Amino acid sequence: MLEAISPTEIAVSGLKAQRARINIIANNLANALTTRTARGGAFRRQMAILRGNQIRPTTDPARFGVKVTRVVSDPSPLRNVYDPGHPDADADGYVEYPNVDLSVEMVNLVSAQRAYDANVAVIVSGKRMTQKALEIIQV
Amino acid sequence: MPPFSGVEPVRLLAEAMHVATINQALIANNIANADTPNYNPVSLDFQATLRAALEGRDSISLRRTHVRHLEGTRDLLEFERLAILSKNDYNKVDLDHEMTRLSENTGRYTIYGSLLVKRFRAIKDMLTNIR
Repeated sequence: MLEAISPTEIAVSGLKAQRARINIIANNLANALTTRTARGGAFRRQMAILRGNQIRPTTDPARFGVKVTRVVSDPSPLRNVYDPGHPDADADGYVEYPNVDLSVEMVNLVSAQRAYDANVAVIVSGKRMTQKALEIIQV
Repeated sequence: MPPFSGVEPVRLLAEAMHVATINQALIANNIANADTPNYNPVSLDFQATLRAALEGRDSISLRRTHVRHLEGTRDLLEFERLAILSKNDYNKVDLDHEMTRLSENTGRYTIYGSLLVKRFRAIKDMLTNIR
């Protein structure tokens, strides 16, 4: 069954998952100061839940690679900022701002980017291997 | 005696390329799961798998056509146990290590391919100069 898996397909699943992570990080950063959402209240930081499979001879080849299974909201407390002039301020003058931490998002962004690059490297080397295999029939 | 003496070179190289392809998929899976919680990277014992393939043993399901065919055979996949846990999500993938193995494996494949080309070219030269 192991010959049924293609390294390129696995790498593409990695690319998709990392791109989804980057999209979510971009959304978090864009909404770092959003105090009103459709659900009401301030925006909550979102996280992608990745799911992958160990390759074992008994694993179904269709389940190799990695996938974003869910996007969840970070339940950590929101930031309370004293800003009585804000239209969303409560009776005491505090405004709830999203629990988005810029440095955390940046660290995750860099890590997602690196992982994306690594998957690209897999695809490039897969291409080199295919080219080499094609050379054999050109003899 | 060299480890693979007596094996027909073309067959040896073809099988080696095949094992390298499987290895490539395993490395690709490790890299794709670089951020998956609880993931344990796997690696392949290249020599042992190649020997098994040449001897027709179905240790790593070379030439298997169905997942169920594998029952009762020895598993040549190695789960990495020495990996140092550096992330708090119990993911043990070391991206640098995997990238090194990726380029090593691609190198192997390329060398085997080149040797196979050389071999066929030699046969072709011989055939064209036969007169």
